[in-house]
Amino acid sequence: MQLWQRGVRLSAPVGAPFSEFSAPARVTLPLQWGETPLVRVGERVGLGQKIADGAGETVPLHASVSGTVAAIAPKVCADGKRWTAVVIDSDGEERPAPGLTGRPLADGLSGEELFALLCEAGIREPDGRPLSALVEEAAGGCRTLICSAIDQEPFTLSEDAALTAAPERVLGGLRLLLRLFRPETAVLAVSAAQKEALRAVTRWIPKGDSLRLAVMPDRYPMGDARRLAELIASVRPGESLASRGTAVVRASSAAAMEAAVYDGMPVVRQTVSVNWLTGQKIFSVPLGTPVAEVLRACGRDETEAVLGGPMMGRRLRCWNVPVTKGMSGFTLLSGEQKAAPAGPCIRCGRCAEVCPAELRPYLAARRRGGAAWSVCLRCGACEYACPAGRPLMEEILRLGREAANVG
Amino acid sequence: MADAAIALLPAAAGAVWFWHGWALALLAGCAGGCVLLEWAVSRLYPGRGNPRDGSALVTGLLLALLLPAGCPWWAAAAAVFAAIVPAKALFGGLGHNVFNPAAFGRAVLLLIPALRPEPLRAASGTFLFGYTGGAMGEASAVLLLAGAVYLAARRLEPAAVAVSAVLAAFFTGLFIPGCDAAAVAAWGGTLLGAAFLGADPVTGPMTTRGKLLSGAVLGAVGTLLAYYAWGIGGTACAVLLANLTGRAGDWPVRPRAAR
Repeated sequence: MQLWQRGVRLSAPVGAPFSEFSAPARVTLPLQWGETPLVRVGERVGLGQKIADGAGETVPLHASVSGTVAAIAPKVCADGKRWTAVVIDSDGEERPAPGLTGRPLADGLSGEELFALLCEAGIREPDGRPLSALVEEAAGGCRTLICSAIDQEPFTLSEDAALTAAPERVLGGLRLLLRLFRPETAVLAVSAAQKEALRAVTRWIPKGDSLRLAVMPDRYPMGDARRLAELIASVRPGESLASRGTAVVRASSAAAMEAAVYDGMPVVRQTVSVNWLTGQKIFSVPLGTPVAEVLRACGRDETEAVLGGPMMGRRLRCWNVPVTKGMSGFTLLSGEQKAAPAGPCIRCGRCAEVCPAELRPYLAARRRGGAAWSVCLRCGACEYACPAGRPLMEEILRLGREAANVG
Repeated sequence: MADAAIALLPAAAGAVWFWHGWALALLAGCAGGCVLLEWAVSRLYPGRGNPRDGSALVTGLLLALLLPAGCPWWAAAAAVFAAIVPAKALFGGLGHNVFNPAAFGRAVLLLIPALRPEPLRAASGTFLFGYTGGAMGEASAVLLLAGAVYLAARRLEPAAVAVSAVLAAFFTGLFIPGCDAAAVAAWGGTLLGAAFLGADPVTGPMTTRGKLLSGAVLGAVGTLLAYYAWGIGGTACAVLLANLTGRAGDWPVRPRAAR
């Protein structure tokens, strides 16, 4: 199998327009990264007002609705832990905080001012890293900048929605990033299955533009940052992206940057796709909206939810948790799905054929090579492809953990 | 598994066409016997046999096609026993067996001198359709090919094994004096070995290198043994050898594939 053919072809999601979502009455903004709150209980806040500060890995947090701060107390979050959170009762007006409108246009800003704006905007990549950290890292020399509009998992369409709904925003943000990174090559990666997004974006990229459009094969997990870096920038397995001067940013981060600089609005909303067996809905919700409200807005009876997509998602035990930055999708399941017992390994080798990291998952059961499994992307493609339904992910993760404990 | 059984149906139908009731009896007997024995194994040694996964059915059909229509019932029973118990159950059941069960069952019968097939050099007639001088599966290469094409359409046919085996058979035939290489390559035994016995994922190699190697061994050794010694029995022995070669060809076994 050639490197770009690896992975599994899952049904291509058809991006839907955003569904209506009525603003929540109360939002909970947890300070999961150790942010320092700047507001007090009872204080009135405006939309986009900075309510918690942080530097470096901890980016500022902004109010996603206008209203009154109801409490600053520990609340349960999706990771199962209790974090101190700022709870705001919305007044329903969406009143922007003072000082947020009428920012000067970005073209007049210098590189440092742009970077400062970026740090203030609270943009986080879906894997948790602040965009500002990425910029800082790339300041040492960036050869290739890859902007990925390919979603991490099938059916969680936040990246596709960002590109389809507002391609000019994504491209605007990309051009700002180009100014900061100054790479030799800039690539916008879109999956071949994203027909709407491709249609939307090709109009905006003139031929011969310095920004290249890379149409990647429709194979999960194409949205993985390492995978894109290996295919587009020829990063070798085991090599860090930084050592090859490669940076991967997501389309939603680029769009957020454009909004922060041109509209003066920091990150206050999250695109969430909710998927179930027969359908899907995409919402743009204010950060801090209770997940239960988002899931109920779909009008479905399913009782189980997975945070994330069908491949890498984790079971969501409590629905009364807030939506935070990076929560791009949920999958609804009915509780009746019975798992058939796994058959014996018939040595068909499909797991090795599909593995994007070129591993051989069939060896995981035989407990070979602990440290070699560290390059596993945890994408679940092997388990999906296995005709005997063997729990390959479990075996690989256990081996990786054991290797980490020993080493 | 269902696909493997379906792929054998054209050849089975051809066998019934040529040998009528005998073929039907042998096919049903071998298939039924294998499934029954697998069920018995699953009751006596839980975990070592599963009559429902279809592998016993495929083994039975394939075994019947490797036997001549006039095979005595006790010989067929012995082959069925050999295919299920020592070749599969004693190794630990499906997925753990090193040798292809159908090939093993056929090879065991070579121990009985009266049942050894004629060497291929004594054969006459066309192998494409209507060769009745050997095992039931040899009757028609065309029907076997149809089955192989079906397997390929279902992505179950490893080209690395099948193509290398047929090519190896052909080139070996070229080097044998007085041998029609094309006929040997199109022989039912070659096709059975290359496309069916060699396509078994459990006993076949997992790496491409292993597949090419085992396919070549299958074709070359199989042709020599079939031509000079035991006809389809020779193919069965070559399959067993290829099973071992394939395992050797898969080494070194590292979690990460080399680039």
